[in-house]
Amino acid sequence: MNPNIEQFARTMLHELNAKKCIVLGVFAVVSVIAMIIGNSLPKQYTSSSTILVERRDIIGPLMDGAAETTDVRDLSTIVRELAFSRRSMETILREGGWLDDDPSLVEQELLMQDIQDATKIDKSGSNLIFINYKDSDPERAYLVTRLYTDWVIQESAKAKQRESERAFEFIDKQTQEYHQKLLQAEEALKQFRTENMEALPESASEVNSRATKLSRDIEQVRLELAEAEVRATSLEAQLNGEAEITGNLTREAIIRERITELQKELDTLRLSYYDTYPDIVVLRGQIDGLMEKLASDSSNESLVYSMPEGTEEESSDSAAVFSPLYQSLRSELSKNQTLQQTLKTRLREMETILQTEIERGRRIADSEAEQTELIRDYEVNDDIYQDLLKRRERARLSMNLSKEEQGFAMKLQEPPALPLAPEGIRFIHVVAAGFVVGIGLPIGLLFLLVRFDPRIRWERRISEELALPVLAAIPLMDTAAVKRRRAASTATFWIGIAAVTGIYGTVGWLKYNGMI
Amino acid sequence: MNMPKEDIAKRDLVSTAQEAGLPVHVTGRDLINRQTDRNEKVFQAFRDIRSQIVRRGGTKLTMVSSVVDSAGATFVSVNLATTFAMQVGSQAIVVDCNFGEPGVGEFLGLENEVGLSDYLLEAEKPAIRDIVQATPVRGMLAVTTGTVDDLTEHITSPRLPGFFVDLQDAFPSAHIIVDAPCTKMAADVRILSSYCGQVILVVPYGRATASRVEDAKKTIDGEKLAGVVFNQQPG
Repeated sequence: MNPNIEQFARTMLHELNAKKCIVLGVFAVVSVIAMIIGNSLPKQYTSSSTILVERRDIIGPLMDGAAETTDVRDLSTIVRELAFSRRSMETILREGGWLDDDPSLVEQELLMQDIQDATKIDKSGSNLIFINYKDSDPERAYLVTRLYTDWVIQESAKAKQRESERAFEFIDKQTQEYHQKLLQAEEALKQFRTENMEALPESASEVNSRATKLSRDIEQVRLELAEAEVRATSLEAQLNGEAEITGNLTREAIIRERITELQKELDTLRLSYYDTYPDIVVLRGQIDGLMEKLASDSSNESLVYSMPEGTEEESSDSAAVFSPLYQSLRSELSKNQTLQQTLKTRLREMETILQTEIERGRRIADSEAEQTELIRDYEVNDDIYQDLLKRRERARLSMNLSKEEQGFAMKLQEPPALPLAPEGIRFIHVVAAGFVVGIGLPIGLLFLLVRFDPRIRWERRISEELALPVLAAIPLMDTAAVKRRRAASTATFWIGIAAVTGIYGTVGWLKYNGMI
Repeated sequence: MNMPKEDIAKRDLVSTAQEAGLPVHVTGRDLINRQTDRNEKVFQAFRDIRSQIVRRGGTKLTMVSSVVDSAGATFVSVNLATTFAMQVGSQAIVVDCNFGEPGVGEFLGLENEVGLSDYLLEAEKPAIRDIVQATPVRGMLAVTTGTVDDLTEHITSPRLPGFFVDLQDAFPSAHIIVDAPCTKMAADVRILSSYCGQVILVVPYGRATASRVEDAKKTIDGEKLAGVVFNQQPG
């Protein structure tokens, strides 16, 4: 049967009172143990400093995002590497007095490891670094922290200096490279221009107009030649007595025939080339010329080359030969022949010249493409070069700035302080804990006793669990013996209280005066 | 008159003892008197026990045993007898049968030269009146154990049943309370209980496990077991 809360509490109080001396004894023992433990705790002093990190990369802003700097390593890792570097640790060992005992190299290594283990380097946010060092000697804690801090700041300033120098060198090299490239491009362009003297932008159209004019002239000549040939034919016919030849050979027809021919040629060329191609331009010039002629000739009457009638009746051969008409015809014919020759020669010459012009036109087109290429090359290099010049100046400026430490990588935000009080669990904490445990432990044990002790403490157990009638419950009597015992117990208890208070007081006083 | 309590008791004692013609002793122990509240409660408790015993209607022989040593059986038996004696016109006799740990004589501050053992073992059986003593309480008499020899068994003595008979003959109206050994001595307890009309078990606070009480229960005849007195209960 479980007692109710009230019964339980009353029983607890009774037990507590009955066993108060034991409770006090346990309390005293626990307190003393706590005092001993608290006293022998190694005192730890912590000194810490804070470093503010201003700019972490140099190249980035100078290259304006062109070179991506990724924060691959944690900031605190970098600082840790600096702080725990060999030279730094050696300095600390020396200044901290660890080398006074002249330890072996192995011992030195172990000492360094110990010091590193007692050091905490953490970052807070993205800009602050904390350096923390714990030692049993407050002055040494302060000293080591200061050494760490100074070292880190110094080294990072140097590192920054180196970095900005490297950055400058890099940009300088790039600038020089591009300068070379620029010179080369300039050279190539000059070379090209020298080789192609006539490769001037204007000559393309000059060539075209010349070619056009030539082609028109050629057509003119051809026309005259054709005219002469026809005339020759008719003259021959007349001479031979073939008077029937009446051909309605109009000039117009000749022109139209030629136009058709040229058109065919043009169409063929158009399949392969653009309209700006010199051959095509020439052809069109020719066609246009002919069309003009056609238009101007249409106002004139068509000249009909017809043989005068009656000549077919000419029979006599030799008689006719020597007629004045025949003579004049003959001389005309020979003139005509001469004319034809002249025209043919002229035509040939002109065609040759035209070909030359066309050739030239083609060459110009080709070289223009090349020239554009070279110019573009030059301009691009020039742009980059100008840009690099600007950047180089900026890099130079940055390098000079960091030389004078106007711009800095790390700045001391809070200097280390000499710790006045030890860290962590101190004597007072342990004693307070001991006090609490000293009270709690016996009460806890008593609780367990009352809760779990099988011995009967409540009347109801007998009546209910054991089913025995309880005639009466006799309360504890205040007999003389009981009174005596109680008095003795109380006296002991209060003596005990006095003793414990005395112990606490003495220890507190000793602690306060720093005697233990 | 401003006489101290003890003197008043002594006066009663003397008058009783003189009437009975018995030796007189003064007690050093406190008996229940109604001076304090606490003791008032105790007094009421014993009165309750007394009335329940009486209501039961058994013989006038009551045995008081305990489930563990020093549970206060002697205390209960003596004070129960006192309670009976305090009734006007009643008499009570407390008999110490706890030969292992005799306590009645000391409790009442009585001499132990002559007691029950003499009756049981002496070649020449003494008279009842010779072993019954007066006590500081008016109307209450006591029989101590007498000198006890460890080796001899007293309770199994054949004279024991005769003793109770003789005692009742000598004091026919008296309530007899027998202070028995603890129930560990199962045989003794059984024998003694056979002479008594009812048995009271004393269970002390915080010293007896339930199993012990169970065992005790088994030792005693269920019919005769009047009940339990829970002793030393803290307030």
